[in-house]
Amino acid sequence: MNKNMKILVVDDFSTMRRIIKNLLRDLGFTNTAEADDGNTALPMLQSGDFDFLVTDWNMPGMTGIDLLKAVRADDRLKSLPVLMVTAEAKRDQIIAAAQAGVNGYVVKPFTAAALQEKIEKIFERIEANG
Amino acid sequence: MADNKDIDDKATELANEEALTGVLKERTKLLLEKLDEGDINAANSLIQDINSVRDETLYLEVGRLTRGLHNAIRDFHLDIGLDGKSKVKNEIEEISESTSRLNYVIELTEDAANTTMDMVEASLPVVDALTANVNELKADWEMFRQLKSEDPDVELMYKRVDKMMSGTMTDASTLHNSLNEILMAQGYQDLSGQVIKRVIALVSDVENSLVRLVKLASNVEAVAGLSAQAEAEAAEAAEANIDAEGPQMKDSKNDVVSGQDDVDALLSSLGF
Repeated sequence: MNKNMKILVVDDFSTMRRIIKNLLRDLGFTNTAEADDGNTALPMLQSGDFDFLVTDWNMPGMTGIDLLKAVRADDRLKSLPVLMVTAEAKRDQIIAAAQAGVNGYVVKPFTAAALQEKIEKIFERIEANG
Repeated sequence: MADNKDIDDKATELANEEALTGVLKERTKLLLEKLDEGDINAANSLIQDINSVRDETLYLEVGRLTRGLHNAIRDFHLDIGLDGKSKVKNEIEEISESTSRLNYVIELTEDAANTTMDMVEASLPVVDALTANVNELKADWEMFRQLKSEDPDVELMYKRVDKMMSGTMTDASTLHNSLNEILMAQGYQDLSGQVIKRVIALVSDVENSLVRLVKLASNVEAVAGLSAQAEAEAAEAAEANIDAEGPQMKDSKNDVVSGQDDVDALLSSLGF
């Protein structure tokens, strides 16, 4: 896994962005940027060369699920790995996220170990599928 | 003042009830007469009269209750003052809306979470520097330690420094992990904030609905069309897409997964 990969962290709560950025730094990922909802994130993704997207679901403006759908619908972004880190925990929602093409799903409150495990799993799978 | 209003309301209620009973008695007598005469048409229209009198009374009652509720919520906004430290109290007094109060809670918890994270972020490099320093010294120390000494005191000192170095490494790693746990724990601010934002939305929804109800109840004709409108709105709401719902309470509905393990199980059942 490339520790220099560029990661975009999207959450409307600055507290959570800060926590995720710190955890990522602890895992060795220091190349991170932040956005507070899908509307800010999408143009950043389209113009920047991001390798990984970590997004919340429930945000004002554009939600995480809509951001995920927009990413999958964009020819240049459609293969971007997406990890959802959210408090949304209904089965229908998780299924909807899976159908929209999410690569991993972590429910809040989560542990550092859970985040690490999901990230490793996502990239193992991508490398295995080559 | 509130007591007077209550008495007024009671009086209105009684007057309404008396009026209703009077009208019902009169119409019922007439109805029996018409039935005896065999005038079915007149009897039918009397039954409709009786129904509409009852409906009107119902609408008046709903209107009265709604106004009462609306006033109660408005009074709640004005009445609630918090007994606290004077500095906080001054700030609280400026906040008259319940939604602003809840926003204030979000701000306070956000500030507290940020202060905690500032401290954690300032402490982590200190711990890491400690680990790095010990590591750096350790290599030199291993070499220095090869110089055996006859003096038992020097040997004892070697052992003490060994112990101190490995102890410091373990402690620093414990400290690093604890600091990370403290950081993770600040996630409460996001979760509680999401719940509070939902309550804020609910309070203003309830208020808006009450205002609408007051307007509608003041006009019986308008209320007669209300059921159709409400049904249309309910159908529209049911059609809505998968929406975000926010953090789930411990005792919330049973279609909610119980933790990360459930999420993983569900996703793996979907081929993930």
